[in-house]
Amino acid sequence: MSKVIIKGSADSAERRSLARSLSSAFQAFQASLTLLIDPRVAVPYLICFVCQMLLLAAYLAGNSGPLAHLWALPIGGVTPETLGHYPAHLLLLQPILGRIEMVLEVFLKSIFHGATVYLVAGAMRGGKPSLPRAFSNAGRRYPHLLGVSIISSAAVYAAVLVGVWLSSNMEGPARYVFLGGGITAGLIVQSLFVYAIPYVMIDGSSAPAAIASGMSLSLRTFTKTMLIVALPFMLTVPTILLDFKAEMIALRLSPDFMIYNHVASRVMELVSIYLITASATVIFLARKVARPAGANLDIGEGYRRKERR
Amino acid sequence: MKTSAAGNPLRTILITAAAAALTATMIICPGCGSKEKSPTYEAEKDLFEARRQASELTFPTLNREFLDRTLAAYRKIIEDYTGDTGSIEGLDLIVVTAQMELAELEFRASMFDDARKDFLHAYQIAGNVPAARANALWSAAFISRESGDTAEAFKLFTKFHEEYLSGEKIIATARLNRRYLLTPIRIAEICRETADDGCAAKWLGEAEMTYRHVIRSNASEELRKEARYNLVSTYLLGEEWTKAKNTIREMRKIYGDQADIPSLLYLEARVELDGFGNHESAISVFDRIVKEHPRSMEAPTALLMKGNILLYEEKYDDAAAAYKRVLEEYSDAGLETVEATWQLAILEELRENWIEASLHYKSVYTNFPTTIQGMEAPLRIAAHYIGTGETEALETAYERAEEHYERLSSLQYSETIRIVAEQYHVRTLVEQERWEEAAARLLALPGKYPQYHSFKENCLMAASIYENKLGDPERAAEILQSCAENYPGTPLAAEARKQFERISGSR
Repeated sequence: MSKVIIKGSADSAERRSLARSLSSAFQAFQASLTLLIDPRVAVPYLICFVCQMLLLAAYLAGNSGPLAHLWALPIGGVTPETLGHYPAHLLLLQPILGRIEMVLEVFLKSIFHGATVYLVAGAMRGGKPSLPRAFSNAGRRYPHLLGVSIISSAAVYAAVLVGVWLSSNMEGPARYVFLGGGITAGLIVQSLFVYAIPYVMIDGSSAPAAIASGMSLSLRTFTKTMLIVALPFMLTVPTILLDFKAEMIALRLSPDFMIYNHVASRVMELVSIYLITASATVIFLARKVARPAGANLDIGEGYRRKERR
Repeated sequence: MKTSAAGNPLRTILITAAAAALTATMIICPGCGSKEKSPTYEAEKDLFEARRQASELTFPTLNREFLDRTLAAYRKIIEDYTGDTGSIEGLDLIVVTAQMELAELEFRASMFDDARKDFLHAYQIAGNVPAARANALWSAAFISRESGDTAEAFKLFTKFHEEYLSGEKIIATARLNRRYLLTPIRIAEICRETADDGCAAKWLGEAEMTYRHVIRSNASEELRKEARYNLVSTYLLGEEWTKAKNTIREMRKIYGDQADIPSLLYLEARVELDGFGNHESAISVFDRIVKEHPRSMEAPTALLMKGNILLYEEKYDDAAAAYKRVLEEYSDAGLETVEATWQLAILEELRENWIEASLHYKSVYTNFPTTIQGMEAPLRIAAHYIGTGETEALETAYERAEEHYERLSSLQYSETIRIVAEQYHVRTLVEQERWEEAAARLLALPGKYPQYHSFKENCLMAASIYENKLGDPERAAEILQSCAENYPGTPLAAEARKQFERISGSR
């Protein structure tokens, strides 16, 4: 008779052992990357990336006329005429597109998160992921996805902004400590919400229930969850650091640097967000499979099953 | 027909990836991702690039290749966009800006002739940009004055005065830049230099009227204060000492704050000294500046002036104490520190204490080589040995002087310093009566510094050396002829021709 342990004690063992958490997190990353053998799982985020690039192309092409009025809307104190001038047009690229994308991220990107979770889950279960079905399911669950998106985005931004605000009142090393603290708080908050979309898309939970269950799961698997959020985030750190100095670099080298930096940061974001969503889904699904005492979560099981078939 | 499991999705992903790659390439590839921008935008882009190149230039050690590249970038903007300035809004401002920045860069690179020419061009094209137009004309006049072309400076300053400082335009012009108010004083100075007292008096009168107009106006207090200072300068230049003293006293009543009092006291002391020859009164005011305003800019200068008066009165110990106080209490004062060391050297020479004096001279040219005292010091040492008749020491002194000027003529120094060092080098050769070398160096300098107007006159001096010192009138005539040919239509060519005819006639 196979010996099945109580989940809680496995989680607590994993939480206590950083090595086991690391091992689980890397298995999740490995599985997420292996899932790309069926490239459809990456399509929702690739569509997002293409949209971001089209938005960038539209910004670069249309810096006068009615379009300039549209671009000037997100930030105060900038007139549409300013955007007709060089290098102001390029130096304002980051704040303008950043704010537009922030709004799109909250209201639209949740559909792409949902579709990705649906496709990853399908691939994990050994099924044949269907893109139209993924998007139609995500569309049906949109109110709940939007709810999760609004609450989680607000919480993450609030955590980061508190850190930024505190650091702005500081001098010297304390400034960096508070800034780092804000980013860490943002990552912790993000990790609390990372399972909410799998709950909405796979378990069919409502937004409040998904958030509650997701938080509970995150806390039970805290170390591992933090790792699957924090490690992909590291990929975006170089471009985030460049963002801080982007204007200065642009003025010294060439304002075109703003374009390259924007493209690079979106590429890094694409890789990072796929790894986080896919790994969270992998861990979420693996927890539904009973496992022997002392064993790590076997997150490759679904895929092996598919291959056996 | 059965397709492979991954066939359709693979096609989807490939199409999506290709679209993403294409979009990214269109954006990254310059010019592919966006339609052509407006000419104004393109001009701004070119101006930004030229400015970026200019910001990379390090003065005074200029890399000629970088400088040429930057100048070419500015010239290209002017060439490319001038034709469209009438038809495209905003383009004229960019072209004028490029023209002004080109001229400023040339000025910083000591290309005075080019700078003046380009400022005058900016003046011609800046009809829609009044501030730039005024700046261009004034800068052209200023450069003419700095490069010794007094006739042109007079013409341009007068033009500026007619255009910007007549009648009701004075206040508006002064608001653009307060230094424009100095124009009539500058013209009067030029008149003085050319010994035209009538002209000087006329322009000093013009200056007084201009400043009184500003003082009476409802212009800002700052501008009126500037006008009062300029009025004092006018009286000082015109040697109207009582008027100057009264204006200063009036100003001390109006401007009682700490920032103005030291400078007003300093002016008052100068009036006592230069105007009334009242040494005691001048020293008492200088002492007051040092005592009551020890951290003011005027304090070290006041100490220096006090030292100079005492030195003149042969009160050597008191004079030395004043100079040493400058060195001890105002060691970071710069020019005053150099001057105090220099004066100490002269003082020790007067006391016939040569060892001390020579140490001070050496300290001046070692620690402050690029100052005028730093240039003068090696020749002062030589002059001492001429007086004492110490031939060997004199030879060594000249050798050191030549080394000093040679070093200062190297590319690590700015062109202005190099030019002064070259002049001192020629003087060293002349003092040693090494006539052939001196003449050769004089003739080489215009080619080495084509932008420096005054070197063009070297041919006259070189011809004179050949004629009078080397007894070679033929070579002198040859030099004069080539000088007249090189600068046709100039007063210099006329003078060269005159000298040539004189030499040819006497042969």
